[in-house]
Formats: sequence, structure tokens, C-alpha cells
Amino acid sequence: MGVFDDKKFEQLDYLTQITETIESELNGLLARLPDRIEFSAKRVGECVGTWSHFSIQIDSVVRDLMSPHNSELSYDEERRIVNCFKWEASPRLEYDAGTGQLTGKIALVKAVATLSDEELQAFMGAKGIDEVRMLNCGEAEQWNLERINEIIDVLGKRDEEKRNRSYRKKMRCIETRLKEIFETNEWRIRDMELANKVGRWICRYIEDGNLAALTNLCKLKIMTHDGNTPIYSMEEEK
Amino acid sequence: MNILKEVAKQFDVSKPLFVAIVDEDDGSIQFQLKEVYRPNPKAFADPIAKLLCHKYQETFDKDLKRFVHSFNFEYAYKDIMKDITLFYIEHTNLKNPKQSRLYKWLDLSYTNDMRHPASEGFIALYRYIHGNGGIGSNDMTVENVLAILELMKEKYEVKQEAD
Repeated sequence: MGVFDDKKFEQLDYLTQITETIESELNGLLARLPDRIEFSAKRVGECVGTWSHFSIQIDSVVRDLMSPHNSELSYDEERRIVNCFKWEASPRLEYDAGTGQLTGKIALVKAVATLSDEELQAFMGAKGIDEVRMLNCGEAEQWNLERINEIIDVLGKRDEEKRNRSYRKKMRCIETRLKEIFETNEWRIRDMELANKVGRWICRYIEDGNLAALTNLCKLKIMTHDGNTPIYSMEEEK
Repeated sequence: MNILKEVAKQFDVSKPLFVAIVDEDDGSIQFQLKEVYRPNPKAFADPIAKLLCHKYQETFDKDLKRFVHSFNFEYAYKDIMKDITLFYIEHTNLKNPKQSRLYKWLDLSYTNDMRHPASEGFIALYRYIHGNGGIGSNDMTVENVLAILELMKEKYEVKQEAD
């Protein structure tokens, strides 16, 4: 086995290999959520407040469904999952809070079973990019400018930024470059988790000089040079 | 504040029957009362009941499984006091009524408190004013109201000082 082997890719079926389907925990989570939830009169009754109106919000119901799965979703990811569901209600739906009777039926149904690659592409690497954006430039004095330049080097196409002395501008450049890489699928990373790690490795190297993080980033970059196959996984240095 | 509470008992409440509408825009199901009970002031002869119509509020009691009244009697009482004070300003012959001792006594926060010993008297006075034409009452009513107010002030102001 070589250092740059992509074990996950090798295990994929032929069709997935040629279509380069994105592997994402978002679709896994969506599949684990129930296809249909009937709302009983008791459940509606629990939502009744003290005023003359009350509502059941789709996002709070879906969030409750997701909570046992311990998924750490970003706001946008959560919104996308919520939008996969819709209400199905009888045309005449009434609830008598005095007797606890529900006339008609109400259910939450999954309208979208899987997210398409086009939709998932928008989330590729986003969590890692967020971490890069959140890096506190107030502590930048402790960072090594050289390390930031090395990252700019690895990411490529932004050599002119290395001459800049501003930490903030350099970090903005890294963030923009990462966005570009994932939006255009330049590195052909087809695994969401792996894509998110890119930004995290960058943060770890810039903040602490973590060499394992830099090694992983370089290894991934080398794997992109192959150009023939998409990247689903890599052997990571811990 | 038993008088106000007694009057409030005349009011009905909404039936807790909710109709649901799916709001596609925000992805929620909105439940609204099918019929909301709103008391009509014209349906009541008692001026206090008419006043309480505008203060009507109800809340759903989960234990009782029905709507119950939730009036804010404090506000209703403040309105009564405000009305009496305005009546005094309008009808007193004084050049500068706000400088009078009666006005100052009426304007005291203690006098405007529901727990004031004269509170039931003020409610009765409000009834009397509005049972006889309100702010545009005839001279007889005006004379009576001003006299009653003076007497009330004498009685309760002295009492307060003695306390």
C-alpha cells in the first residue's frame, strides 16, 4: 500500500467511482431521520400556549429529531436538512384544547430523500473555512509569518500575497483561496469530512506549528496532482 | 378590588377550538382560535363593565383546559382615577386646578393605588359620573361630584396623616 492511496475510493462501486458522488454525513443524517412523523392530538396539545394562537415550527421539530444523532451541523447545513421536510395536513384541521381532540391529520414528511451533489458542493470545506475565518488575528503576533506563507504556497496561485506584511490580509487570502478550491472543485475532493479537515489543518499549523497538520495538507495536495481520480480519503498523520 | 372582580365575572371567554393553517413561507403550522370572544361595550349598561371591555384579556389555563380572564385591574383602576381627575380639572372653577390641594391629593401615587381605602368610593364615583353623562354631565352631577371629592379628600387625607 502506498502513502498516497485512497482506500475509500478503491472500495467504492464502479458507478460511484465514475460519477464521483460526494460522500457526506449530511445525506447519512438525512437517511437516518424518519420519513414520516404523524402528530397526535397529545403532541399538538403540548404546543398549546397561553394565548389565542400557537404554532409548531418545522425547524424545531426537525432539530429535535436530529439531536439524538449528535450531529454538529453549521447553520446553513441545518437549514438545508430542515428544508427537506414539509407539513402534510388535512384541509380541515382543528384542535379542541378543551377535549384534547384533533380533527383531521397532520404529519411531517421527508420531501427530499438525498441531497444532490450540486447542493452538497456548496458545503464542501465550509466548516474548515469557518475555522480559518474565526482564527483570532489579535493573537497574530505570536504566529510565524513564515508558516502562513508556507500555507499560501501549498494552496497555490497567490504568490503575490506572500510579500504582504498584514496578517489579516494573508488570512483573508487563504480563506478566499480555499473557497475558490472548493467552489470550482479544483482539488476534486469528494468527501465532506476530508474537505472540512483542510481548513482545520491550516489553523493547527498556523497557530501551533503542528507538523502533522502540514504533512496532511501537503499529502493531500500531492494527491491532487494525479488529476485522474477524485479524492475520498487519505492516510492521515495524527 | 372585589368590585372590579365581581364585574369581570359577567364576561364570557373564548372556546378553546383552534383551526390550523400551514404557512409555507416559514414552514410552520399556525393554530388560531376559531372564534375569539371580544366583549362589546354597548352590550353592558354598567360603566365599569364598559371600561373593563377595553381591558379584556384571556389566557389559556392548561390545568382547567379552558380560557380564563386575565384582566389587569391595576390599569383599569388607574384609568378610573385618571378619568375622575380629568373630570375635576374640567369642572372646577379654579384658575389653576393643578395647583389645588384636591388635585395634588388625587395625583398622589398612593391615591392611584388599588389598595387605597377610598378605592371602592372612587369606583362608585366613576359609576355615578358615567351613569349621568360622563365628562359633559349636568350642573347638578358636577356639583355633587366635586362635593363628594372634597369630602373624600378631607376624610382620607386626615386619616392618612393620622396614620
